[in-house]
Amino acid sequence: MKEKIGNLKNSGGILGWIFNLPYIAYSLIFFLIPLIWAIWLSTTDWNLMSNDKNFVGLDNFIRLFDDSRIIAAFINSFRYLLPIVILTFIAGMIIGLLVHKLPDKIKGVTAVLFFIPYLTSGVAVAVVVRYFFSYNSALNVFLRGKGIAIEWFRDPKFSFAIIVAIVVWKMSGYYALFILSALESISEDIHDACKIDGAYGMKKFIHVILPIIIPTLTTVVVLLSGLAFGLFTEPYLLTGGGPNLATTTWQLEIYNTSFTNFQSGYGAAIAIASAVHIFITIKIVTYLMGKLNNKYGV
Amino acid sequence: MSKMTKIISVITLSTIMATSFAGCGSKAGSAAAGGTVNVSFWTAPQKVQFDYWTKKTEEFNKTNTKVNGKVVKMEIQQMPETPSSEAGIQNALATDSAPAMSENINRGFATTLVGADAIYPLEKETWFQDIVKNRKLEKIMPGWEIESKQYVLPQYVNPMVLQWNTKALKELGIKKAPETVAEFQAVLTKFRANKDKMTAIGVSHVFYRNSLIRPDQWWDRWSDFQNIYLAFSGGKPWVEGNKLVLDKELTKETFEFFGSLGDTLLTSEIPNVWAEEKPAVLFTIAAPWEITALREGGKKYGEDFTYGPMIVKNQGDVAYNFADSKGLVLYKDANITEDIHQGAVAFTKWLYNKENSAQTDLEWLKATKMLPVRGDLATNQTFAAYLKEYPELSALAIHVPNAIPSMPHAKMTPIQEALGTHLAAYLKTTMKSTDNKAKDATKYVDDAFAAMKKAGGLE
Repeated sequence: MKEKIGNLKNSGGILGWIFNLPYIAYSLIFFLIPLIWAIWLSTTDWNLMSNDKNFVGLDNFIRLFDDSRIIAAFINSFRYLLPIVILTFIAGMIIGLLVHKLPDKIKGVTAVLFFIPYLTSGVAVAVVVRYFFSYNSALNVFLRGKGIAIEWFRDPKFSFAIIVAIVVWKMSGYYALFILSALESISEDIHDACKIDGAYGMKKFIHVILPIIIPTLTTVVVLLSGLAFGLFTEPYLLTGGGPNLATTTWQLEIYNTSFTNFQSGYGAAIAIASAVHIFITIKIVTYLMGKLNNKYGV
Repeated sequence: MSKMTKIISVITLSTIMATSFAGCGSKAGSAAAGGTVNVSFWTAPQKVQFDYWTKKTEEFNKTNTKVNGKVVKMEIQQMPETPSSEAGIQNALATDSAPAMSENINRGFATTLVGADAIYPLEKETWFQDIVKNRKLEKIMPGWEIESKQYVLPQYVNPMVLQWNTKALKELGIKKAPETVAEFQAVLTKFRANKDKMTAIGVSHVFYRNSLIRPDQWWDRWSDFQNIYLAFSGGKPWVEGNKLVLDKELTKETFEFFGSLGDTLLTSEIPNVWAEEKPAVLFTIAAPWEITALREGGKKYGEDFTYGPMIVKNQGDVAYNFADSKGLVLYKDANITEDIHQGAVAFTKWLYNKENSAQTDLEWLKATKMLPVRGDLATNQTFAAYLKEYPELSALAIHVPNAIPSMPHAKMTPIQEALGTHLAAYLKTTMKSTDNKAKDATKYVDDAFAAMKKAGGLE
């Protein structure tokens, strides 16, 4: 037996390669090859159908800086980032804390109830929201009765706010589970120590609980930042990116350019630019959260 | 390493490699095997069309038609909407898995396919010329030209006319849907003067068009902007070759036609305006594909709604309109062999030969309630009984000869989106107006022209 184990250890790494092969193959097929292909595509004017594939160098990337749609998507990604991260974080935190305080018997069920919006199809939610804000909806009939007529999706502020609200509603329960799990993992000893030291309420939360769960909160913020950059379904189905590009996103522009306008080369350039943008932003967020973690974390 | 370990390693490696790449093989949409030629045909994503084509292909398969000694077997599937039906075809062409033929192709997308050399020209084929004769398409085909050639076999046409709220018009004392700008303005004036009366019957606005302020819904410019422009201009084109030939003055008049609606234009979404017991508007752009739903909803043609022509400038002008029209194309792709292509041709010939063409079109009409493209639709007795049963279809059929399809330009989408952006910006300035006289649209039209030229690379 010992000899066999020894053979495995000294087999020149072959077995290691074999066990890693599925992951390597997966990365190669679903990540590396598509990435290289997308980079190549972004340097052409190919529409994926034509036999003509002209090399255009960096023209597609240069064009990005002069494209009002792309500039709007770039700006909007930050406009989405702030309210989505802040509001979802706060809502997730509140849900997490409330559920944490519940008796163990109903804690699990309640957590699942808050998680349900996350499982709901984005398309279904968008359709319901469209009905909710349509001309003849109960809300609008009521408002018109009071002399208030709002065209929700014609107003940039309202349409933007509706999309943010949907995302916050959908994701809060999901991220609350992260926070709840962190809260649940705090040892009873710490709670007992707080009691002995007279730390209660906000004082306990700020000075004891928060420093302990800050690594989880860092994860939540980083994941939420990524989420804000990946918006597609809600703006696609509700506003199409309008009015006046107020709600457009990177994903929407990639879709429209590649599959509606059939400018696949340019679409690939937008996708690469958005990936770089997301990467840099996430790095900054991670760096800032890391600093916070180091300063206030346990 | 022992021999056994080496063997296990090689087997495991091979298995992993084989299973990893199993899904990466080319999935040819069509394949020739043995004495059979399998010909793939993609239908529109709608079930009603899929059902129709299922029946037709089953009938054809029973004929055991042969090409080059092989039996042709049609295999159908719904067009994958990944993420749209056009993108589904784009993906198929990119991966050499295109079907041999498909329906659901409009002239605009066909132009993109022509630019990619992905579809066959048809005008020189004898069988195509026979079909043109059998369906009396001689006068219709020029409207389908792309770069002076024919690539699409027209299948159906929905002439996009106006759908009027008959009860509301009666309440205003108007017996006939308006046809000219002057008559339209009179309706507008009467509506404003009788707003309380209209509100009492649930009509709050004159025209409902949610997408007028949605430039991203570029396809809707066919049914609003282009429709009115065609009627105002006597059927003039939007783009010719690579030149923007839209008349600036007429474009301004078209913008201002919508602007004149002022606060009577409703752009808040109503999921299905005609399904309401009391529709909230005087008129909408007609959606002929909803005829079945309207009947099922208890709406009667002539009582609840009527179809009226596009608004023309002067009495006697021809009311040209937009043709929501699609047809069949035959694809060129690496996976489509000559036998497969000939199989697709054999199926098309069978559909529209002298003996079958009228029946094929009648079955289409019955299944989809969309008018088949035929020069003799109004005169051919095959259709008479059915059109009599559906007066709304007869009313639409009158407008078929004046229906013009979408522009033949590969950059149709960005061009129409550019126009829509500036039309929406203009309407933002008019939608609170209570005056029938529209605000000047010159600036917005100038901007739209500049944007269209940039978006489409047009001269």
